[in-house]
Amino acid sequence: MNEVVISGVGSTKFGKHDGVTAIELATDASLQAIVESELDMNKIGAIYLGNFVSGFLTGQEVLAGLLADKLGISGVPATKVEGACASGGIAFKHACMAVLSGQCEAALAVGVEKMTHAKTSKVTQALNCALDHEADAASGLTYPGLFALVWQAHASLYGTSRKDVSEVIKKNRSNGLKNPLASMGKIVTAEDIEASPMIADPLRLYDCCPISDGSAAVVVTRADFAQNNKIAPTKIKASVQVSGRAKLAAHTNLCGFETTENAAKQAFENAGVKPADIDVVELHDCFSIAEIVDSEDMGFMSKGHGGGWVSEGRTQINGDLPINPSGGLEAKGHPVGATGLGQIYEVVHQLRGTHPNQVKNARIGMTHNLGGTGVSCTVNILAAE
Amino acid sequence: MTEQENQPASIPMWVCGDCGNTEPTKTIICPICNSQNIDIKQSKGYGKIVASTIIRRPSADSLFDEAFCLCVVRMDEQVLISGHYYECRLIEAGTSVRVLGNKHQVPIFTDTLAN
Ligand SMILES: [Zn+2]
Repeated sequence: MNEVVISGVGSTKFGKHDGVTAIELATDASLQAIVESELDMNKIGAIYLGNFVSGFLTGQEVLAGLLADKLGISGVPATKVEGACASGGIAFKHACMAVLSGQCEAALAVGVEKMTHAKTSKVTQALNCALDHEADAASGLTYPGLFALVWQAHASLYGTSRKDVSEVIKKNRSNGLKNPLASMGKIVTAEDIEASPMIADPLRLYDCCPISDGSAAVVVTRADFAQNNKIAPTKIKASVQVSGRAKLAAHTNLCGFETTENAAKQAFENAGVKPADIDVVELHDCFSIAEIVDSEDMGFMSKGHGGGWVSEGRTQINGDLPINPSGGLEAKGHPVGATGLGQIYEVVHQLRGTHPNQVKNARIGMTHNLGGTGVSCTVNILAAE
Repeated sequence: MTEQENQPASIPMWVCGDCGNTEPTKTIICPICNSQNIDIKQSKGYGKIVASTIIRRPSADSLFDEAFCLCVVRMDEQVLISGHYYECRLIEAGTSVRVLGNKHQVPIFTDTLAN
């Protein structure tokens, strides 16, 4: 996929944005990306907007059309896409396809969510819309419950411990301290984590990413459109979106997600690179245990070894494979529809050499965005020019 | 419980007549081989715990308003089923369980030694 490139990225801070609408957040991030791309507004030939719960939590829909109107981009397809937590990654995939197909020469992918104004119980209800209601919602399953079951299964098969999982939190919260876009950067200790309230055994409050507002945007263009830009464009070596089994009980075992395995395998094949070639990863740590299972599912280490890697410091910024140097969802926050594009924003800055937690000599980066109980997943492999 | 009540409650499964894949919810097509040759069978109701957790804050739209033990069970027929353990406590992976009944359409499990 070397014919299309990323020529601009933008992001708001992830966290609490009182008195600001989703459209205002999306406009902010989009403008940053468009200005960076050096494109006239009328060159944007399509808009794909990732969002999950705006209708449920704010009563506002048609976000893609509203954003186009706000930006003064008229007469182009403006489409909202939804795949639960993978909505942002799906928007990016569709922007790539629009440019690759020749439908347009440049497309805007933007993700946005506004959540912090709502009560936690209402947000839980909203997020539960991503469960298979026929199979799972009646049982009272919640997302913390799902990842608690994943952790229990992983622990019983591989011995993954509280200590291993706490190392994910300590690393990501610490990484978040230096990221100005992260809302929850902090030095936390094992004692802090173990003293936090139990949500779904063994998962505690510190294991959960925070409810957040925010937006991130990316401009995708034909490579020749950006070749003389002041900021060198980022190559898109692979952009993969896959669907998977929805219901909890349809997974082969609970120690990972087949959608991640499928998407990562396809992405490596399409890009012509191996897991060992990846210099930096931003992956979907919606809960601390998720970082361990995601990294195994993506093929960076064999199953059951993810906990060991994090405990040995191999996923730190200066480790063998830096994972979530941005702070990840744990420390940046998880404005659901924006997360996939926020990950791309972070990796693009790593590849430009402009990240506040810069990974030395980062040339190839990867993003991973997982939706629902593994029902949708996107994986991207990006490279510096 | 009487001897009759002590028999495991059965739960339906949708079994593919071509590849043998078993689904825990109603379907007219096998998601593994796309066959429409689907039979409804009853599970014998016995299995082993794969994982369990205690949901301390049930979702507001759930039919359960108090903390409960959510478990995933691999039935002897090899299909995974999610349900509740009859007591609100963690239950170790590998524990043998049987279906005791159901509440709000959700299977309730107990260990095979319990009455
Ligand atoms: Zn079949």
